[in-house]
Amino acid sequence: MNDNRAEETIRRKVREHESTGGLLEGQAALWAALDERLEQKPVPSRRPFFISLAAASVVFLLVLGFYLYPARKTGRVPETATIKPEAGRLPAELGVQQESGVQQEESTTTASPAAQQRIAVRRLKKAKIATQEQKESEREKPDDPAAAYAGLYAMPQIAGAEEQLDQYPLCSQIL
Amino acid sequence: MDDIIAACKTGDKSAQKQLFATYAKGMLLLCRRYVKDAHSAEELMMNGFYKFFSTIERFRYAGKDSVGAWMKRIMVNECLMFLRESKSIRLMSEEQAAEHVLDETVFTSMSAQEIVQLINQLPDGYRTVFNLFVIEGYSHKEIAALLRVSEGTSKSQLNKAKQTLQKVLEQKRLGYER
Repeated sequence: MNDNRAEETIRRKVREHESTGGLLEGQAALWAALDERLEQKPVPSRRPFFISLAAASVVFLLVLGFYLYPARKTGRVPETATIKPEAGRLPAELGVQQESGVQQEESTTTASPAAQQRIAVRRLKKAKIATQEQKESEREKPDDPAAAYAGLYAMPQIAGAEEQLDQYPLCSQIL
Repeated sequence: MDDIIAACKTGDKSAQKQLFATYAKGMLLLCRRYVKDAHSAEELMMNGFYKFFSTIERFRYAGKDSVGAWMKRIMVNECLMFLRESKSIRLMSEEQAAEHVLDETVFTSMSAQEIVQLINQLPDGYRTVFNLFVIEGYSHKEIAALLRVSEGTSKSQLNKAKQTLQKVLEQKRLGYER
């Protein structure tokens, strides 16, 4: 603490002077101004919370409305929706084995709906082609291997062929 | 006073008005010691009261003096904030002079108003440190924290303030003698 006597005197005198009550010039007006400020005090502390809450609710409802309305009206999934890669399901349903690389590349959920749709169409086409090819190969390949062999190597029956062969003994021997 | 504080805590207007009437003049004089401009001092006093009433829930009553002490602290902080923002106090560490001792007899014969007028003649930096140390009773450590300076700066500023006060007093005395 300060032990200087002059300082003590200054402190005592100034403090006494300031602690003496009394009417301040324009005190009523000052109090009125302060009172008004204090009246306003709780309002700004609470109002923004409710206002912001109400505003947030309105915005949320609007966004939700805009989000759901197009989907309901057109039946399309809005662009912001997360779409599961249905495209990845199609070939499997059709019984076609899918290339793992293709699945990894195309089954991303981050692709836009249009891209997803394109992927799905492409996969469907591939699947159809694959199915068609499979069916064709099955049709070409008979169940009985012996018959298939006979069919494959059957010599056309040409009239007078045997007689012609007789003319070439070496060929007859080979056959 | 305890009842008034309790009523103020519930937002009682008449209690607030009573408290304002009791302390307004003293707090304005305190603000004037730090800030020379009367209008700014009044504004700071109003801000201080606003903060006092806004944070009164946190105040723990410990006798009549505790109310004034807490209010003074708020007012001093308001004034220091104002001085910092207006950049009117630039405290630089000055060469540490030998501790200066004021002549007590001169101040004994002076009135409080004369003393305040004398203090108001000091530059902002010296005046602020002088007010905080001599009148408010803050330590150099507290002043250093409040003004964001070193303790050494606070000490040197106080010594310079005392030297300046002594010079002003001597000039006045010489003036009277002539």
